[in-house]
Amino acid sequence: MSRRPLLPSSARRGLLRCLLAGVVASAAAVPGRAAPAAGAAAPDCGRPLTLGLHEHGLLYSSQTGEGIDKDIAEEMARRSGCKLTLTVMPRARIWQLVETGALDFSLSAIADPQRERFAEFAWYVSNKYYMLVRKDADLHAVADFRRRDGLKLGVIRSFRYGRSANALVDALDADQRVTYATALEPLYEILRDNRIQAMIVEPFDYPAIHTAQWQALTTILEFDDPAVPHGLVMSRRSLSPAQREAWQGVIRSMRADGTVRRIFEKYFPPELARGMTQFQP
Amino acid sequence: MKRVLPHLFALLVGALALALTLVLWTHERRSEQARLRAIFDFNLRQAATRIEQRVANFEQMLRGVQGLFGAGAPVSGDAFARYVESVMSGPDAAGLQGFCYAPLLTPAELPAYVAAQRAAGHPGYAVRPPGEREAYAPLTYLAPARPDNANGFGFDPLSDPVRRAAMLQARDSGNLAITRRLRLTIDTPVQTQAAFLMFLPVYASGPAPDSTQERRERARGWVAGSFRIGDLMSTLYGEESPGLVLQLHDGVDAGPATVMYRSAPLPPDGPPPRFEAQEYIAFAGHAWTLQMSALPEFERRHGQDAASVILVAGGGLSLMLALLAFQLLTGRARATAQAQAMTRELRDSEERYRRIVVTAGEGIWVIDAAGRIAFANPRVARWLGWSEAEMLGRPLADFLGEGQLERYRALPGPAPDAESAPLELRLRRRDGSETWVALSQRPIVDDLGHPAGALGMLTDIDARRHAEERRSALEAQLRDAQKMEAIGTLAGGIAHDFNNILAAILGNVAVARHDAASGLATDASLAQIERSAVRARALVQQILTFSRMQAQELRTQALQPMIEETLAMLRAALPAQVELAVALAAEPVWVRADATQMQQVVMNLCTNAWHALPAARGRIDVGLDTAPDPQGAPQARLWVADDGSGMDDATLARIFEPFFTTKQVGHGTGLGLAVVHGIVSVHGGTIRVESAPGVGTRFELRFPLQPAPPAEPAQPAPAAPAPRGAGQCVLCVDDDPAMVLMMQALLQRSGYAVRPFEHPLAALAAANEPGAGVDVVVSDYNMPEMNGMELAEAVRRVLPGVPVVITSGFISDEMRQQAQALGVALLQKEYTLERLPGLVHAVLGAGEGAGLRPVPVCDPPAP
Repeated sequence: MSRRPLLPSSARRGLLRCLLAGVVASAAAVPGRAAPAAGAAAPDCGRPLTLGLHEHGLLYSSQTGEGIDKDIAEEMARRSGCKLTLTVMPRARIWQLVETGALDFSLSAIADPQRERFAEFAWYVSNKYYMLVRKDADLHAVADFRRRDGLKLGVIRSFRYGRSANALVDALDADQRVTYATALEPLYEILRDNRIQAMIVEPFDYPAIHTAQWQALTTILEFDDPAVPHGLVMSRRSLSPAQREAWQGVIRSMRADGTVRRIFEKYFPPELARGMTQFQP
Repeated sequence: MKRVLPHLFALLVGALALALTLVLWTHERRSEQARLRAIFDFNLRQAATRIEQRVANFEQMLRGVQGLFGAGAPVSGDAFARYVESVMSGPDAAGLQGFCYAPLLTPAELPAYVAAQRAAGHPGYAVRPPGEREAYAPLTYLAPARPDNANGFGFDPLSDPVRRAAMLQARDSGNLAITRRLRLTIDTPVQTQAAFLMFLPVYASGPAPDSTQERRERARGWVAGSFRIGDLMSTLYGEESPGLVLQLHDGVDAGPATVMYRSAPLPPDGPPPRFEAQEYIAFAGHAWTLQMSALPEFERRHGQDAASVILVAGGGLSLMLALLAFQLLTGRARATAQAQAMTRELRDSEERYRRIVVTAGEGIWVIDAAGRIAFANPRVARWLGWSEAEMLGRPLADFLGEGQLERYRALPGPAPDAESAPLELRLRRRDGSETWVALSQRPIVDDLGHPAGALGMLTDIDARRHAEERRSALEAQLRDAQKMEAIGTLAGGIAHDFNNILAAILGNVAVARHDAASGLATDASLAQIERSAVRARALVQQILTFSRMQAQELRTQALQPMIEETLAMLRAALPAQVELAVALAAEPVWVRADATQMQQVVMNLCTNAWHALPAARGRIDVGLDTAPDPQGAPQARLWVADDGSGMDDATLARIFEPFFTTKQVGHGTGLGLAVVHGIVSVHGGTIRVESAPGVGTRFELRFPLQPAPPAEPAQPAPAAPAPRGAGQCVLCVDDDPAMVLMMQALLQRSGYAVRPFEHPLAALAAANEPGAGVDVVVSDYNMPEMNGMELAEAVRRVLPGVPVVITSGFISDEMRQQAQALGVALLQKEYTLERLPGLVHAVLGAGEGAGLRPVPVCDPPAP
């Protein structure tokens, strides 16, 4: 995928407005961290640090080698002066390696109680989740999906979302109505093949689904959840609290000076980029 | 409705329990399914993770190879081979076929490259396929070395669209790119496994290119790794996964055409898999579909089948619960019905037993613990002349004859649940008469084992007892009759003896008169007279003793004296031609016997032996000793044998029959041996007879031998002569003048005054005289007008308490009883001379003699 600015069609303007409104409306609701204490330590670059990227729409594409996460990683390396070794791997594996301490960082991840046991997060973006559903499924609300026994949902293994989205995924999983994949691409294919009738998407996935083909095939339903912050994942096992605080400082500085916004503006319309990156963590 | 209600309730209980069971079963099934599903999903997730990880390992190895070329220095084929060999030495390389390096060449660079390869020892080297292309990337290094590498050496993967797409993707992205499944150049036509190539770009040395354009400009080649899916999967799982079938498809389509790997075929005839799911594995822009199906073995391996257990157990428990409810609800009704049935049975049983008891020929009574009649059947009531109701509650003693209560109480308690031996009792009828019964008693105990009474079975034996009494009386009469017969037999001999004695007495009296008249001493004659008189007295005593009619008195005594006495009598009667040989044991032979009856036995046997001697000539043997019985117990043995005519077998068989005799009429009653047999039986003895015609007969009697009785106290020394009287008045009465004279003389000499009378009435008149002064009366018993007892009674009416002595030649038991009742003394007449004075003195001293006066009024005593 080329690094071209997003060119929404007229039919997608409504979607963008929806995305923007959702992001802005919930921006203030996200709990955030206190401002860094003055004199926070600098990241320790005494060893090469590892960062796992996962292929996910605008976040990173293995075909182009480009993406938001790669830009964030490069900025982190530049600001800190540390060498970050980037490795592309499935999201599920990233969590395994972060938990064991074999991987120091990952990017654009959300937290949950289980993850917070082994990882610390530094937020830099916040967005809502949406359900991309086939039009022929004849659904008009997310809640209807649960009631229709024959419908299946596609989910990336180990992905978590907002509260109601997670509840839906868990309930459907108990009913064996969830199909898993290690990345997005297979889900798009099986959605197209009607082997699943919906999948959960976020703004990063928009370029893959803005084509006329997808427009004709699908529609987007909004979850009732507020925007969920995404951010830097730091392994508690491999990074000391001081280092984690140092890297918190790096992300904060990137946010503070608008670097994060600018990165996002490379991929999203400015209003959307601003709404996604300007929030109270 | 009431009848149906328990059934309905039981059905309801069972239905509820079944419903609960079904709920639990369903829940357990769902839980089990969820658990199995979770295990299945875990296995699927784990399989996907393993595949991802293995491919990631391959990528890391390939990056290592990439780094070899990214260092900048040229890499030789040997260095490449060595590096690859080291990289592939670990287990993570399982499934990898090898690595290769393909430099990117322009058309202008190609000839020099080919020349260099040919110069390097590959003279036939050529880039394949030939033809002009905008760029070439011939495989230059292949490792590890294998013979089939020649197939790949020189091949240009850019010429293949599948490879080309991946190579260009890798070049443009700078990341790993994986081809779709293809056939490796080193593969033979036989090789059917799906294979893949992974490509990483090699750029010119320097900073990592930052854009696609820069990557294209600085691309210098590729490194690639190849792997086969089958090898990869088998190194992950082996050839089979237990209970699970794994299928790996190329792409997201899981159809037959896309299958790259199948761990095991699904059973063609088996049921559809219980669990089946897919997971999509994506890397480097390429997707595989991992499909997992669960075989029945999966369920068997992981399933717990608790649902079946719940269903079966719950069903069973539901049924039991329903039955229990039914039982509980109907328990009372059934218990009532059962109680009614049991009551009916009990009533019927009691009626049966009542009929048996009422109509029994035996008497039945029940005595309670207090000794009262608790039940008496009609038979008992009829026996005793009472009604059953009248008998109830009365003490048993009311119905026992005189002296029977002690016998009943002495009845030993039988063992529990056992009857006592029959006890013959006399019961008292209502009219006072008595009847004999045989009582068998069984104790009754309550539930605690305490005595609660007794159950008695009574048999009427009154007729039998009377018959036995009559029989005993008849037997006694028989014995007495036979005794008289024996006496009759002895009469001649006894008369002969007496004649001899009288002759001696009379003769010596004549001699004494003559001597007295001549002034000679008469002591010798008087002594002879005395001896003869004593002998006569002894003979009379023997006869009286033999003929005494008295009850059987068994006591331990020696047999010798009674045999000797009998033989003494017999000897006098035996003819002189009959020899009597006697052999009696020297030591006493003690038996428990009635002396009179034993004498009768000896007498009868000897008499028979005497009568069996032909022409009254022969020998009779009488012997006595001891001998053991067949068991070794000592016995007294008495035998009487003769050498007479003997008896044949026919006679021998009947000799003990009463009235059987071989003698002529008038010469015997035939009772002798019957009586002998009876007496021997009563004494617990046995009798055996041996006889042969013309030889003789031997009777052998055996009796149980008794131990010697304790020695009798030493006989007191002969009493001193009785003290002389003090002139007390003795009234002497005897119808024999000689006796009167004798007593008068004897008493007068003893210091008493005597008034003699020959008539009892005269004696009575004398006693009635005022001032008669009679101190003691001595009277004969057997007198005309009145006997001695009657006289004693009459005198006592006049002189109350006057001592009386009755003399008699024969003192019967009846006489003794009368004497005891009257309080009079008895004196055997033959002992008058020795005992009368002492007896008179004794009776005078024992009681207060009426009329005892210090001044005698009777004839003065002899000086």
